[in-house]
This record gives sequence, structure tokens and C-alpha cells, in this order.
Amino acid sequence: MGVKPIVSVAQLKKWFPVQKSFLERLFAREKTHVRAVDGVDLVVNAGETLALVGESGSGKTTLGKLILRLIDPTSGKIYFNGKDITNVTGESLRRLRRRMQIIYQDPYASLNPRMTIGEILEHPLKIHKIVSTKQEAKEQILNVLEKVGLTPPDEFYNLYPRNLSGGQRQRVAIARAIILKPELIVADEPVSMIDVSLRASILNLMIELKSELNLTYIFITHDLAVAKYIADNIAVMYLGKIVEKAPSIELFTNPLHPYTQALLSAIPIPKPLHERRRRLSISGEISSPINIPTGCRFHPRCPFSRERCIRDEPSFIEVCREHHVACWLTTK
Amino acid sequence: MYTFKPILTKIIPKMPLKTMGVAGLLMIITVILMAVLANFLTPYDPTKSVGLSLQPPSLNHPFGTNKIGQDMWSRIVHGARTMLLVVTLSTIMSIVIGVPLGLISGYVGGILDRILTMIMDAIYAFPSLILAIAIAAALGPGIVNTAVSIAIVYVPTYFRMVRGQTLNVKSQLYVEAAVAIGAGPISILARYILPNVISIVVAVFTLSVADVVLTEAGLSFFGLSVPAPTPDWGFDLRAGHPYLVSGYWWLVTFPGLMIIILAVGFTFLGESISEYLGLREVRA
Amino acid sequence: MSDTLLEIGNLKTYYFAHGSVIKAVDDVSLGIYKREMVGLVGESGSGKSTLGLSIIKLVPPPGKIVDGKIIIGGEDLLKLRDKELRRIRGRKIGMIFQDPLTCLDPLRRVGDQIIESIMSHIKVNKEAAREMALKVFERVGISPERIDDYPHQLSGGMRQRAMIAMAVVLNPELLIADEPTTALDVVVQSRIMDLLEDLKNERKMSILLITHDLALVIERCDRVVIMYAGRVCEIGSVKEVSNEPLHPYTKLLIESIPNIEGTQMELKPIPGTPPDMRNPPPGCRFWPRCPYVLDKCKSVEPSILEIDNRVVFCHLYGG
Repeated sequence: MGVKPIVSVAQLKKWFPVQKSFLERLFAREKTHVRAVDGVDLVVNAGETLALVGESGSGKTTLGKLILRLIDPTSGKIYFNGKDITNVTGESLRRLRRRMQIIYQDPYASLNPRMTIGEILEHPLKIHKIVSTKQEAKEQILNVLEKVGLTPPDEFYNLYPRNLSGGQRQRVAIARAIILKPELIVADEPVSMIDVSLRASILNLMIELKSELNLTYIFITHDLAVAKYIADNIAVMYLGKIVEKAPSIELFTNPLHPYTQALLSAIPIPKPLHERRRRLSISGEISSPINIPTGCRFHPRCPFSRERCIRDEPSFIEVCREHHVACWLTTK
Repeated sequence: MYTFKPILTKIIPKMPLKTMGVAGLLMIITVILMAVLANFLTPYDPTKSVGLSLQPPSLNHPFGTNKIGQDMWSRIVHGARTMLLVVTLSTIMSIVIGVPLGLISGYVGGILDRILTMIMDAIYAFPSLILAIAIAAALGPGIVNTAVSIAIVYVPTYFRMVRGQTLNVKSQLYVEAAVAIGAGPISILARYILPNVISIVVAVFTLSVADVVLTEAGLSFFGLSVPAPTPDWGFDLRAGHPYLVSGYWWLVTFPGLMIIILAVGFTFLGESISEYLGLREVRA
Repeated sequence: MSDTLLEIGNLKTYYFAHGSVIKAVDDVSLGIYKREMVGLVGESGSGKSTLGLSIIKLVPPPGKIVDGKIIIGGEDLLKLRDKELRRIRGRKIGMIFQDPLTCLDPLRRVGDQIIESIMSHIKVNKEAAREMALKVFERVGISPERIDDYPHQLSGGMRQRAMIAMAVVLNPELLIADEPTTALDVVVQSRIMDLLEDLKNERKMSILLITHDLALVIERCDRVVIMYAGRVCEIGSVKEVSNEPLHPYTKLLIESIPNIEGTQMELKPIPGTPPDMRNPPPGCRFWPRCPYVLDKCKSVEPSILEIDNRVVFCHLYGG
């Protein structure tokens, strides 16, 4: 089976200007940008599920939106199916959207309260002229509602988002993402706001849909457990850069970056604490993305940091099969 | 700005919402009925002299007659037409101009937004009556002209509120979701932003229409509204007030009362609707 | 038991809106002992947050506590007047929330807020209060110079710590923590939980940890209370409940926790959805989703069953 990249980004950066008053601007030095994404190289293969993992402030959501061109990059390049989409705008961008969709975290905020479920799902079909009659549209909508488990579909067709529960709304969001039969879906924390007992069914649905519709997922989450369950590969982000990337199982059994190790050991495990293995604890808080530390950006919190870590930024290198890491400990 | 709100809240501080709304609605309906049924409510032609001059209220002339001998009741009842016509026309014009401009300005942003906002702020900064007077004086008398003068004065109110709400809605996640499915700007404005902005238009309307009433009255007071002999409450107010000293109270009381009833009615209704919708205070 | 710090008896808190009644907390009884951390676990609609708010009578309208008693130090909190309650809040019972900005006024410096809170409860002058504030800040891990910062100048984790500082500065006997770490990432969460545990041991304080994260509770708490749709399902020590869950809901919840440590993973969903709280199912509220449902469950509410130190509400055990 040939492995073909569906998305690749090169040295991708997104810096947001910080609002400053005139006087502040006069006296400030370079530190006037929030470096949400600060130089990311990434390749996602067709049919893969890649999890982007990190805490808030890591840049994972920004990276996801950059790939979908919902945000314009500050610098770097984005390729979709080999084509350079970095500067695509207007009509071509809108047409491109048909092939890449998004599922948002908040099922309450991502659906227009003034449209019925039917209208919400019909709109993408109309925009891209997929159907020519209302009847055809309704057929496809009912079909997709059935697929995401909202049955009987005709009942949901005329309801408004406010008539639905959080879990049901998220299914509508998934339906909206798949109705155009895209190739790529970026899922931004799709189950974080869903009840714990319902998460598994939504995740299972997404896995089913993936094989049925030949999708590629970029799955953004802060929950490593969810990542392990759903992803083939996991990329760990910290302060705007990817610090480690490996196949799921490999990452869990052999985490190389101290940040990954700390993340893994901090996940609550249903066993009383004193019975557990020793935890790797890291100090302090994530630095502000306005004030990125020198050298390796994790060094202020790293229990193993050495002189080199403060001076030089480590490169992102493949250390064993498919396993990349940016850390002086491993890569010398 | 002419509003009775400060006075009203002191006089009737604890009036429950529903009562206020219903009271307001009744007042407005009364005036509307007057306007619609004008011809049936009075046998006299309000523009012609039909009685002796300066007669106090009597069976024949329930509101008395004025200096020229016109029947005051007829003038009041037909004056309701004039007032309501001007108010309706000018409100429609304000909305038709202010709302789309607010939508576009808020959504598109940039230089267009800055220029429009500057213009609107400039108009808004003028005391409404003075600006209306200036425009009306330039345009001349007539129902349409009067409506236009008043409309211009209130366009900024609709513009600002709609622009503000547009900015608010624009940042909602479902609007970004619409971009993500490939919707174009017109589609987004029409189906995602406008429906979520409409409620604020209703709010602005309910709270500013009382002001419009008073502005019209003000204009006609200065004779800048419709030309005599068309009946107009503000005009009658001014025509009648020199005689007040001599005791001819009915010339002034009834027109004044009608203006108050209509303005207070709209205020009551507006306040209760916007409280009901849970909207914050809108300054008209 | 003289070891009991707080006792909740038959608490009922309902929300009255639009002509319907939501029985958010419907006849809940439980006890919190001294110096223990109790986890109150449930998903949305379970009533856990409402229960926490009921203890210090901060249930927002249209909610109302309609029945029950809450006894601490011999006093029934539900019978106290506002003035007496204010004495208890902050001094005997502290509370922290998921969003620090619910307690921290964004327009005032954090130091000032703590100082004001201190001075409203005990008779000290401003300098002494400031001393206390500085000390507690240091204890929770915020460097003292940040006492004059505004909330927006602090990071998420630090705001959480500031809120904790404000809640524990007067050494309350009970700290109610409502989803304190849900919005934080796993590393910060772990450190905040460390802090809470240390505070509990140092200050001989009990903590009621309200959360949906059962794994967190099993990891950190002494005892656990499982709630579903306004009622209690099961109460017991964390060790016993996690090793041998009695209530079917508890079993399913534990099974749905993703297993990080193994290589094989299967997420087991709990079928069905939480009930509409305006119209919960009759009998045991969990029966539509229960794999072990009996006929009796559909009409008869299970009553309390005490087995050793455990409590369960389930017909499977003859309840």
C-alpha cells in the first residue's frame, strides 16, 4: 500500500501581534508577538490518524486551523495533496474547503442557533452545488444523519440545535463535516466538552466513519488517553513547536522527550497514588508564547537541562524508525 | 435627547413589567385607532373653519375650537395620522439605511468601517432635534421630507447597534464554521449574521421610536414639519400657546397630552419588550 | 460518629423554571469525615455541582433547597440566617471553582481581595491581614511579589492557586473543590492536586472534590461518592469501590476509563444517554442504561443498603 502525504507543512509559523499602546511600542524590543506556531515541519499521510497533543498555549489548535487555511500563516508553506495552498484565496480557497473539514470542540457554539439541523446540513451541499434539487439534498442529509446515529433522521431534520443535547449536537457537527465527503478532517478536541460516559461512543463513531469514508484525521487533544485510543501517530507540541513525534504505542512505551515523559506520568490512573510508579514532575508553568526561552524552549522546566539546552535549540531528528524528537539528551 | 425615562422611573418605580407593557400597548393602539378611524370619529374637516373661534369644549366640539374656528377634536384625530405616518416612514427609512450599513461595516471592517463609523458618530453627536431642524429647514415642508429629516437623525442609532452586534456575532464559532464549509461573505451575512442580529434591531426600534415621536412634535412645533393646514399636534401646540395666558387651555392641553401619551406608550412598550428579551439598556 | 465533620441528610435541591421542576439533588445523604478527601463523581446532570453549592447555600435562583439538613459543628446550616452563614463561609467551609474568575474580581488586585476577605471574617488590621495573605500565597506556590497583580496577569494555574489561597487562608475545616482542575492541562492538574493533598494533611482539613474524572478520584481520594441523575448510587472507600464496584453505573464508569498502561485498548461506552432531569425515569433512574436491569428497577426506587462501610442503592443487592 503506497503511503502518500496528504498534508505537509514546512517551517510553518503563525505570530499574532500583541496589542500595545503607542508608548509601549516605542520602548519595546522584539517581544511584541505571540508566537503561537513557531516553525513546524509535519507530514501527514493519507489514511492516517495523527493526534496533536499539548497543553493550552502549545499551538495545536492554531496549527490545525492553519492547515485548513482558516488562519493565514505568517511564514512557511502548506501543501495539500502536493499542491501549494499557502496563499490560496477567494473562490479557489472556497472550493478547496470541500476536501478538508473541521469539527469543533464546543457543540453549543459551533452550530448556528437560527438554522434547523436540516438547513445546517443542507448549506454545504448548496455551496458546492453537490445536489440540484431539494429532494436530493434531503436524501443525502437523512442519509448522513443516519450514519452519525441520529435516528430517526426525519425527526432531527426539523429541530433546532437548542432542542438537542451536547452529544447530539456534536454528532450534527460530525455530520456536517462528512456530508461533503472530504479527504481530511481536523477534529479540535471533539470530545472534551462531552460527558465522559458518552465520549467512547463518539470516538467509536469517528473511527467507523474513517474506514467507511477513507478519511484522514488530524485529531487535536490534550488528553493522551484519547490520543492513544484513536491515533496511529502522536505529535507532542510545546510552545509552538513539535518536540516529539512517534507511532502511538512507541510514544507510550518509549517516550524520549522529558515533556512527554512528564505528560505521561501526570495522567490520572485509577490506582491509588502511593501504589503507582514514580512520577516525573516538572516545575513551573508553561512560559508565555510572547517570551519564548532561548535555546530549547522547554529548558526552564526541564529537570535534565544542561548548558547546551540553554544555548542552542535542538533540531527535530529521527532517532529510530518513525520516532522523531527535539532534545539534546537524545540527539547529542 | 428627549426621553421621559428618568422622570418616569422616579414616578412609577415599581410598576411591574407586564402592566407597563400592556399599558403602553393600549396607549399606542388608541392612537392608531384614532388615526385609522379618523373619518368616522369626527364629522368635521379639520382643515376648515367649522365653528366659532376659541370656543371651550362642548358637546358640539368636545375639544373646543381654535382661533381659526377649526374643531380641535378633528385636528387631534387627524393629527394622529400625520404623526403616525411620519413616524412609520422615518423608522422604515432609518432601518433600511442603518441596518445594512451596520452589517457591512461590522463584517468587512477596515477602512470602510472606520469612515462609516466616523460619519455616523458625527451625526450621532448632534442633538437630535437641532439636527432635524437643520435638515428639515433645508428640505422644506411635507410628510416625506419630514420623514427623511428624522430618518437621517436616527440612522446612526441603528447603525451603531447593528454594527456592535455584528462584531459580536462575527466572532462566534458558528460563523467560523460557516467559513470552514466554504460559505461566501454574502451567504454568511444573510444566513448567519443577520438572523442573530435582528433581535437587536427590534430592541433599538422599541426604545427609540418614542424619541422619534418627540422629534416630530418638535419639528412641527417650529413649523418645519407638514404645511398648515394639515393637522399636526406640535403645530397646534405652538399655535395655541400664546392664548394660554388668556385662559384658553384646551388649545394646548389636548395636543400636548396626545404627544405625551404616544411617547410614553412607546416607552412603556419598549422598556417592557427589551427587559423581556433580556437586553441591556439601549440608549436611543 | 465523632469523626464526622459534615453530615448531609436527605437533601433536596430543585430548580423551578418555565413551569417544570428539575430535581437536581433528590434526597441525598452522605457524611464527610475529618481529614479525608472525598471524591464526588458524576457526569453533567448528576447534581454534583448543585450539591456542592447547596452545602454553603449558594444555589443560584431559580434553584432552591427544599428539604434536608446539613450539619457541621452541631449546627444545621439550612436553619441559619444569612448573617450566621457568612460567618461559616470562608471560615469553616471554603470553596473553589472550575473558573477562578468566579471568585476573583478581574478589576481588583488579588492581594486586596484576599485581605478584604480576611478582614471581613476576623478582627485584624490591614498589615496583619497582608502578612497572612503573603504567607498563604507562598504556601500555595505563588511568589509573594505577585500579590499586587491583577487576575489577568496570572497564568491559568496561578489563578487557580490564588483562588485556593483565598479559600484556605482562614484554615477552614472543609474545602469544597468543584472541578478545580478540569480546565487545566494534566501536568498543572497534577501539581494542583499535590498542593491540595499537602494542605489537607498540614491543616487537618477535609476536601470534597467534585469532578467527573473517576480516575483522578481513585488516584487521590480516600472515599468516593458516585451520583447519577440527582441520586447517590454508591459510597465507599476508593480501594473497595475500585476493586469491587457494586453499582452497575460504577462498574461501567470504571470500565470506560481508558487504560494508559496496557498496549491493548478498547474504550467501552456506556450505552444510552443521561436522562432529561425534568422527567427522569421512574424507579431507579439508571435503569434504561443498566445491563443488569430487573423488572423491579423500572418502578421501585432502590433504598439504601449498607454493607460494612459501604453504601449502595441497587436492587441487585436486595435494596
